[in-house]
Amino acid sequence: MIWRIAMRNLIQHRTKTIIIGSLVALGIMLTLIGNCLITTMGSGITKSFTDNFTGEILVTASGAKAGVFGAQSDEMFGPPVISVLKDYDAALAKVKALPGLKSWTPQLSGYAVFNFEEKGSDFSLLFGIDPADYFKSMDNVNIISGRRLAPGEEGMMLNRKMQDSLKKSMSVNLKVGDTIQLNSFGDAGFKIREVPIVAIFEFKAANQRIFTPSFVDSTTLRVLLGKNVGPTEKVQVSKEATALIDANPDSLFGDDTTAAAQTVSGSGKVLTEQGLKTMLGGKVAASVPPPGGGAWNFILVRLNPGVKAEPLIKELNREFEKDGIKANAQGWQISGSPDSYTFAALGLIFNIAMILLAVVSIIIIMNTLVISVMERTSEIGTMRALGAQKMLVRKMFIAETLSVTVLFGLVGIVLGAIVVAILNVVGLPADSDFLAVIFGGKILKPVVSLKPLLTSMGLILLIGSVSWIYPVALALKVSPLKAITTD
Amino acid sequence: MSIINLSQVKKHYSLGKTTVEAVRGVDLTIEKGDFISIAGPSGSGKSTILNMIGLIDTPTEGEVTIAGENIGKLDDTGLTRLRHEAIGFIFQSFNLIPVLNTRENIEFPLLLGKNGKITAEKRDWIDFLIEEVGLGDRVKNKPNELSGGQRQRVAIARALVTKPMIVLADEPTANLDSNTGEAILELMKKINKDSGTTFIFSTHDHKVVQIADHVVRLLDGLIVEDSRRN
Ligand SMILES: Nc1ncnc2c1ncn2[C@@H]1O[C@H](COP(=O)(O)OP(=O)(O)O)[C@@H](O)[C@H]1O
Ligand SMILES: [Mg+2]
Repeated sequence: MIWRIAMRNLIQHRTKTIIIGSLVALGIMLTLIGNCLITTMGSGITKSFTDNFTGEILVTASGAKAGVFGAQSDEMFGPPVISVLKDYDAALAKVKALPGLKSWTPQLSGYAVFNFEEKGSDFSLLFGIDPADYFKSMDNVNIISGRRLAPGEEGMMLNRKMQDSLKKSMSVNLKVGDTIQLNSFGDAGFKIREVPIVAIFEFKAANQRIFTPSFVDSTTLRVLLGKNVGPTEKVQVSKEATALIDANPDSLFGDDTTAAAQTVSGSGKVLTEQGLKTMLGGKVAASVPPPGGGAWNFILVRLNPGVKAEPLIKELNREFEKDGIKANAQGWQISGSPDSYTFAALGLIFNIAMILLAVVSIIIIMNTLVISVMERTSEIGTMRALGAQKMLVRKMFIAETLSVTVLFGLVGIVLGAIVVAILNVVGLPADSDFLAVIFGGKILKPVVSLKPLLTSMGLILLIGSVSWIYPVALALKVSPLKAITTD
Repeated sequence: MSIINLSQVKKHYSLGKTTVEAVRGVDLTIEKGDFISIAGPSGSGKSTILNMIGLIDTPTEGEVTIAGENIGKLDDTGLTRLRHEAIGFIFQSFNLIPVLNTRENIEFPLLLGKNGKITAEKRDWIDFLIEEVGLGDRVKNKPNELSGGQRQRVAIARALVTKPMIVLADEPTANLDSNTGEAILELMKKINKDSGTTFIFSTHDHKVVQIADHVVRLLDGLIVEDSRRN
């Protein structure tokens, strides 16, 4: 009976019902579409960062603020400092013990100057890798020309975006087979190294908006950065790949040198034994080989499909802390910033918009119900006079509100799902780099997933269960006397 | 046997600073099976008294006893329950539920009780009432498809459906033309005689008073006449 009266009242006051209903349907539809877009973008951006740059889990030195691209916003000037993962072996042991582990690979990151003498120079990010290991874990590049770095080989895979920008800015036309001179000047002094370009490549991900890293073998980068060169690399260094720039290099280092030649930049200092050691970098360090085959900045961890990273990150950090390992596990977001921040901000804005929408819906529905209570005072009073308890009045209004919100909410969900399905077929093109980052690719094909559906349903329930509270309180105040006094 | 008792009942309404004394000390006893008219000019306190008997208003002073229960002692739930069990209402402006048809309006009070199921016995009773008030061909019509007289007939059937001891009708003919009004009163009287249900109706129309066998006249909130006819 209550439902019959509720339904008939809704039909009776069609216009009002349709207005409220369309509002609910529209709100729910927009929420669902928005949520599906955000969720799809989220998995897109996550996937492109994890697949291309960070793995599901990135292990860094503890306290390191930097991800694979270097330090974040607070580092405005100069090359970012990326801490060496000193407890590499201990950290790796913990990584290897992770359930759901698919593979792992170590990586170095650092900045170097591409030096083209009189033509100019440019600053670029380099990833130092063990190609065999790295590409087993990260299937992230399309080779445009040339080939991947071979294990143990010294050389560079040049990012096509870098190649383009060099062409534009200083008409340097680099191609496979060319050698490139890399300089670095930091705490470890000035270092020079020349490596052959073995490939021009691009990342499969579209989201290399700011960073255009190129790959070099780990030894080369380690030397440039003045870091410990492990015994493995020392053996593997080939003389062909090593070029000495300074005057009379052969007499200084001989054929089997592991490191690049160097000069103390422009200082005219006398080369003391200590100075020489510093400049020699890799070679000198190699005489006291660190455990585990040289310094690394990161361990990139890949998990089996479907394994959730969050709990494993927590577990890893607990383990690191327990054993005093100076390492830190994190998700892709650190490296992904500022893109991950942009994305998080977008999500936040959307959530706020969604809450506002819910609040507005609730207020409008509430308002309409209040009017409806006032219009129906006599009817409510009559029911009360005929012996209806307050509970029945309450139930009647709840029934009306719930049926409108649920019915039209479901309509909204269906419409939203249809729109998302159409967008999935058509695809939303990313016509700017920014959108490509946000979309996590060149085209966004949103899918309807469980979480947005649940959110929408939760929203329906929220609207349906909150908006009647005040109007019902008003309705309950209606005395049976109103049956007589209002007509 | 008296089923309604008012003793020294007063009802005051405060309107800002002034107080309206709608009922100023009324003693009244109503017997089971009475067909009683509360008569008096507009503003004399008829409605106020009917409302207190009908448990939708409470006295400021004095005691109202309905079917042995002192209504001052009941809370909203208790009043509502007693109202549902003991009293049927016929309103001046009919007060049917607009979205329900004739039959549904009549059955509505039955659904409000503890046992809200419509049994076969109850269905027969509803059928009987529909025939009794002469609406056999209007069962499926909504109130806005009925004439004033027809609406009031629905209201009468609705008031009787729970088989209450008392039926209250506050100026039931005020919104009807005189012929229809007379017919409605005749119908009420017939049911009163057939079922022994107590009917209390108010009116300010002298002619209408004729039909009652117990007349209570009010003036300015006080009883000026309480007479029985035989
Ligand atoms: N809710 C109220 N508030 C203030 N005054 C009221 C209220 N109800 C009735 N009155 C006053 O009480 C007096 C009696 O009213 P009522 O019982 O409705 O008379 P009747 O039904 O005989 O016309 C009138 O003067 C009326 O104005
Ligand atoms: Mg009156």
